[in-house]
Amino acid sequence: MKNWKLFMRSGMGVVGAIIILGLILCATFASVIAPYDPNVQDYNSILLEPNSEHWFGTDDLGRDIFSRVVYGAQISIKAAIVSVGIAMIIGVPIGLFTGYYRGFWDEWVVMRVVDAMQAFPFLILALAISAVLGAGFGNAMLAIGIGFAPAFIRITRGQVLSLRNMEYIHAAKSVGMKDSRIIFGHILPNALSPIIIQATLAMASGILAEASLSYLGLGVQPPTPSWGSMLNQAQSLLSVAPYATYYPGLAIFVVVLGFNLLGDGLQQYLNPRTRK
Amino acid sequence: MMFVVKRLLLTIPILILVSIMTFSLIHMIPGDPARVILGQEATPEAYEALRAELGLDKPIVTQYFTWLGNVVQGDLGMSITDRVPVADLILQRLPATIELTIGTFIFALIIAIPTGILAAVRRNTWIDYTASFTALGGMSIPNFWLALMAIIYFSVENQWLPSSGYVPFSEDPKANLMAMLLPCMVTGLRESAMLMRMLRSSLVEVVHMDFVRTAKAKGLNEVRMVLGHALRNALIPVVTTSGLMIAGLLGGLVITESIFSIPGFGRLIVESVFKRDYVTVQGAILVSAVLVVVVNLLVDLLYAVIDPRIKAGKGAEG
Repeated sequence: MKNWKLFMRSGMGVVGAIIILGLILCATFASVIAPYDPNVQDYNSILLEPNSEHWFGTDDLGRDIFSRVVYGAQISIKAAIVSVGIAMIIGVPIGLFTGYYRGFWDEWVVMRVVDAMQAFPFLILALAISAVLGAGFGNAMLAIGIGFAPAFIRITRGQVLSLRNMEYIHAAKSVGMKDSRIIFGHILPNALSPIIIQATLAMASGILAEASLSYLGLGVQPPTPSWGSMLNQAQSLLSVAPYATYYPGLAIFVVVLGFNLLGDGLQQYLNPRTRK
Repeated sequence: MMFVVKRLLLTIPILILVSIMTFSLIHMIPGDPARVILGQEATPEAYEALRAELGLDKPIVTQYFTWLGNVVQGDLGMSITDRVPVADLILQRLPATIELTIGTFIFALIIAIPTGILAAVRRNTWIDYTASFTALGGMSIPNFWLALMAIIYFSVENQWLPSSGYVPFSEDPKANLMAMLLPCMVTGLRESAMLMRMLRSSLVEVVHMDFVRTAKAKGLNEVRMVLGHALRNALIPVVTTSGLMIAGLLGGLVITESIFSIPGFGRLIVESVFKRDYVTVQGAILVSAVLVVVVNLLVDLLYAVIDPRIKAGKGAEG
């Protein structure tokens, strides 16, 4: 209860949490919220400006933009969870084991590979992986997840390095506790705070990256409504239907801002140095 | 000196790994890369010729060392679609990207330095909250959306600036600057958000240090205290951030160049991806990674020059 009150005091973090809750609700109840089928083309309603029937207007195929934005939330939330999930599945165990055992593998193999991976500009790396594996949501997620993994390796390893010399870890070792139990039972729970913060901020980047790849035509493929691919299609309509670009972009902005606010709020709340 | 040597030595394994990863790219293509590049209708002769050109008929270790040997001599291979050396393609595209990068940094600094200082000096006031929230907003805006909004306002509705196109500076300086203004502004806004946050937090730390308090106690006015003493120290981490920004910026330029039709390095990558010109993609990715490694190395060395504590060994760890 005390923790909850502390978090509530970081106002912006709460705003972020509310935005993300809104995104989750939007994605879950898309079929209830959206007034039209997002993929149905109505040639009698092409390029209608926002009005009482089509709140965000319609696109060049007569599809309702509001409904497509609502359904786009499903892709964005999947992008956030899947890309960060892949990054954590790769990064957290590697960071835990290399930080705990250290030695040649840690210093000369894993950390140097991490250095090398971080040398590749993230979006360019994701573009290249998507190009090689082929366009599509799954490959885009894999590309983004691989791109995010080094950050999780670094953060987890850094935490383990500071925790492995703590007295309670020495005590656990001295009573003969197995390494795996020390790592997962004692080190991981105490290393979780910065990993959670990183995951929240990475979700914001994951949504942006998915939208960027979809905008470039390498992520979600039409007709599936994704905010990035909607902007791609709307770009050719800038002079006749600028409104078609307003809402998908605004949706990306608000959701990414939500994750960034939550990440900042969690940082203030979970970081003992900034926690008041 | 030891720091410089250690830092240089550390770069070697990174570059080797970068080369291995880049080389592996073509081998990550599911199935036979030559078949994927040429398509199923290709003649057996064309297929065999491409396999030989890419060196796919040799053992993989031989392939890697042959490729590396060529790369070291500046030969990044031949573009599959354009039949031009990839190195030439990249060199043709780099000037526009360099111009865009410099313009972006100028815009970012013009916005970030005054707002960062103001937010730090007026810490925990409405100025600080507004600046910090705006910066977070700036970091959350997808740059392709911001670019489209800017095109709608500046080009479609008001015709103040061109929406796309590029004229080299040497041909027509005025047209060049007009064409680059919007892309630099859009990319610079986003980068300024990160720089501003960094400068603010760095300055807030420095403002509470003893030497600043002493300067204050001696009656130095706030402007001189901040500009003459605190800012110099606060800029050290900002220099590092600027170096780290280069990787993100190169990624961001892929999008900016595509939207504004700037024939730069980023657009070359996107074009090559769609043309399935994997050799060009490979070469461009290698160049971008090497660029990041070199810039990070220079920033670290610069960091050591401006902060003597690094040379003393503090920053040489890890």
